[in-house]
Amino acid sequence: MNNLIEIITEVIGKYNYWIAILLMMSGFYTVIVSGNLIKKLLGLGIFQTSVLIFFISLSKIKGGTAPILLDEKAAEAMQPVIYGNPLPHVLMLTAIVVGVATLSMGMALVVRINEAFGSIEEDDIHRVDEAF
Amino acid sequence: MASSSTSSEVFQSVTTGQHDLTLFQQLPVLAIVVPLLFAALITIVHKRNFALIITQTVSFAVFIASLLLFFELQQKPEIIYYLGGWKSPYGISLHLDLLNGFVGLLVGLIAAVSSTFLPQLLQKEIPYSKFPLFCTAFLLCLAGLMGITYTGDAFNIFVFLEITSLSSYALIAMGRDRRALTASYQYLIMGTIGATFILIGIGFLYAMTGSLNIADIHLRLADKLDSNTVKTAFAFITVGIALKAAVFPLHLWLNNAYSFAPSVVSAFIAATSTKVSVYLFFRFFFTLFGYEQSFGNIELGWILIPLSILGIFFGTYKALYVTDVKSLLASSSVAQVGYMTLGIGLATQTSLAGSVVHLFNHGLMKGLLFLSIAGFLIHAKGSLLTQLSGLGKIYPLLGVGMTVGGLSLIGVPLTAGFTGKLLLLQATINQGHYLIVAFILLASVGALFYVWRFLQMIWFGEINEADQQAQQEWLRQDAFSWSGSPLNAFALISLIALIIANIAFGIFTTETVFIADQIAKALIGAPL
Repeated sequence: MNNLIEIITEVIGKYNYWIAILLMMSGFYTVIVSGNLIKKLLGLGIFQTSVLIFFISLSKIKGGTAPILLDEKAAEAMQPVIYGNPLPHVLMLTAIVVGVATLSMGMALVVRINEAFGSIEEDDIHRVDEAF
Repeated sequence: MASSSTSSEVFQSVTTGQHDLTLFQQLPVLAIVVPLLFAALITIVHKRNFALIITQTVSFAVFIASLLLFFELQQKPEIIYYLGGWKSPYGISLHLDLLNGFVGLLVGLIAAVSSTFLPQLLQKEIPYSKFPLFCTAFLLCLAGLMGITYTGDAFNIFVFLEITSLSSYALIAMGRDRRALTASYQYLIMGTIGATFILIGIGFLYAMTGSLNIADIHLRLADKLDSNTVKTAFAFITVGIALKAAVFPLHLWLNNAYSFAPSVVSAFIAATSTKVSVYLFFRFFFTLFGYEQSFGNIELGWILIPLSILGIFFGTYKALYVTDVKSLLASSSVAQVGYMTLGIGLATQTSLAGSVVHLFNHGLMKGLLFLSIAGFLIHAKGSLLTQLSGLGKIYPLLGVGMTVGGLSLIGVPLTAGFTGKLLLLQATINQGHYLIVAFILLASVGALFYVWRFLQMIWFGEINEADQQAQQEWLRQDAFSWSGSPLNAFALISLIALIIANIAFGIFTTETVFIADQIAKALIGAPL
């Protein structure tokens, strides 16, 4: 019984990772299953976002503050200072930019595809292509 | 610069130390930054001729830089460049050894050669108004590829990978056929998933080691190799790179992307982007995780060898029946990537050397083949086999290009493709995998057939009437028509240079094999 509670608290305690995994899988699932090109891109966006949560979870520390240099008085008052690791945040800023670029590139492509094929449904496009 | 502990000291050493660096020492970073800057400049100026001249100049400058760096690497084992002067585990560093130098040389060479074909492309494939933007994407792609190759930082690899990918999506989508759009879209989905997988893997590694520098991660991983997190990271990174490198079951994006892209883009991307991804395999498996982890603890060979063989089989098989030459060459690319990953999977010194040699030589031959097709496409209507019928008789030089490239693809002795395959065969025989030996030989016979398919068409096919008219027009108007190709002087020289390179690397093999052997020794022995 104790063991079970331990496992449950362990699972709940790491909820942020579970959220990341859930988002990742649902995004991935959307990319694979959906036949609509826009929906595929949305799935891709969710998939990429899950990585942001994963990285930021890595840098979070309980009771940690922002990594800002304190002036001497404040530093004496709260020794030792615990702060979150800023590096993953910075990495994710880059990843966000990459995500935005990918998404807009994909959207632009979908617009062009719609102009050329008259549809954004994968099945329709395949049908048009075969008649080509 | 002395190593320093406090930030102010570091800052001081940065400000004083930076002036000691000569231009030559800045070369690694210049090879990445210069194309990046000029890409932006082209977008701002937005003039056609300006874009063309800048793109060609920058591509050649990058080529010369990579060449100089490669020669420099013959003398010393490694060149490390600290960006901004920040020391290694804290800052980002560019880490060059013989392997990167070799791959960087290939990227620079192919970029320079492809850039000479850009004016041809202007005539037919790209609308005039979009040409400057096209050049921007081309230079961004080049910057990204050089970045992936030279960087010593794991996260940097992801960033440069995305720069390369995003610009190549744009380049591919500029193809004439509307299917180029769907091909680009498909590549975007697959490529993004691959890059994100690599990012997740890097995240796990960062969680374990707290470092992003590849050499530093390797040191810090030494006592954590059994951890599941490291193994998960390994799995994510392997799958991610396999997607980018088009290893067998993950190769679906490649065929359409290469077939429908503008012809020069096909040449540039086919000859560099999958090769750079295969280079990432080397970097991650051997330098980052280490030989013992990749092939001792995890036994990667059990996955990589069967997949490579399936890739060789399906690539060759598909190349035997497709009707489009570009699609045929793309399928053969899947097979050739199979050879390279086979060399990695066997993980002996000979097989790795074979893999490295094949990586370089395959870049040369695919570049030559796709550029010859780009030459044909100046006058031909499309790249279907029937549309290229008899064109070798009209444009003999391009025909020679296709022939040399084709023979090299089969692996005929005295062409570049022979050396790598021979080393791979040697390695498989040494290890006693006779089934694989038989298979490689069989696949080479398959290659003989698919190369014959297009050679027979261009040399012995009937000349289409439209082509004949185009030829007469061309003979009247083009000052360079005596050369047997509708190319301008610049492109002509680079095509001939590629043909010579394909033969020279088949005849004078001692140098390349020696270099590849050194690379393989370094990969298996003491990493970095």
